[in-house]
Amino acid sequence: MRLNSTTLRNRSDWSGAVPIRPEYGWKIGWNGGSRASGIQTVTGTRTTHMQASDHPYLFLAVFLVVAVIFPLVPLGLARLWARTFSPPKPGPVKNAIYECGVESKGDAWIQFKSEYYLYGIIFLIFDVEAIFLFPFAVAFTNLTIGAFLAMMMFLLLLVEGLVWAWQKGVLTWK
Amino acid sequence: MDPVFAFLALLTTAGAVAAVSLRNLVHCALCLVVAFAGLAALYLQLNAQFIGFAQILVYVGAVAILIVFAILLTRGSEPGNQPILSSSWQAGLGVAVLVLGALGVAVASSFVRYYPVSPAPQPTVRELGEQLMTNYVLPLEVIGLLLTAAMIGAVIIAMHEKQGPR
Repeated sequence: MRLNSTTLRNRSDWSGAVPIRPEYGWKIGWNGGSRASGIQTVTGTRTTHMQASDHPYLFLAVFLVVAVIFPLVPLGLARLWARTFSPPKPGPVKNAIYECGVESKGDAWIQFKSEYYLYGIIFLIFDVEAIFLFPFAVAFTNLTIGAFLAMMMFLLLLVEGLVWAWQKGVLTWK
Repeated sequence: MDPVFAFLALLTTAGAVAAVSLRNLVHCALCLVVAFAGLAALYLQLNAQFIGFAQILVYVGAVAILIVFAILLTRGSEPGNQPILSSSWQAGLGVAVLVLGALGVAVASSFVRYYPVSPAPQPTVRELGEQLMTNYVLPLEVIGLLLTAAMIGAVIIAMHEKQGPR
């Protein structure tokens, strides 16, 4: 995404347009935001009154609140509807799990196959690796060839583990 | 106190308390996820973006999944009947209060309190990356080695378990 400095300046005037402010974002991108000139940087201002620029994750909080409210409203409406229009008349047929089909036997809490756990472990390892890939990717343009080779070494170590697991047949589903 | 901090601290503590006090293990794991997410939000609120997102990615994402898998892998089907609180919970409470008091006295009488609080550094992810690839490249490689060893070890243990009952 390329924005010239005038749009940036205009956007920095918005009270709610927080992610465009370079000092708050993750600085993913070639410019890293630091070279984008013409923005009034307001690092480290901690005021007591609440401002959108002081709370860069306000939009996340708004998302969270909406995400909670969104399912709760239909659920509450359904409960209200049930209370006013359908009086409870339970019976053995009505309470049966399936209207038709084979009844389930036993418990749903069965023991999982351990293959799931292996996938989980390998996912965790590569998730931690991804954490280190983020700073590498952001700082990529300033790196020397030695630093690049060092990162490739890091990746090679982990790929080696993956190849080993592959050779052992851990990744094949049986 | 900052209301955002108060809310996040309350959320994190509530999640942690629920994680140790609920009866159903799966519910405990989900409450642990809430506690992890609250911690991540606290990091973000302290302006430590990288740590915060790393917390979300690793703990909320991967570790929580691993915990749920571990529960599904090992549990007996029904929760146990023993009470949540141990019978010696009063003694535990006493020990906890003692430890808190000792730590509080030690912190309050420490000389650290008289140092002026230095402004917290706010490194960007870019600076972190540059430092990691240049000055701290040996720790990076050691981390890579450690991760590989952890993966191989975990796979070996889990594979033995698989071959056992067959």
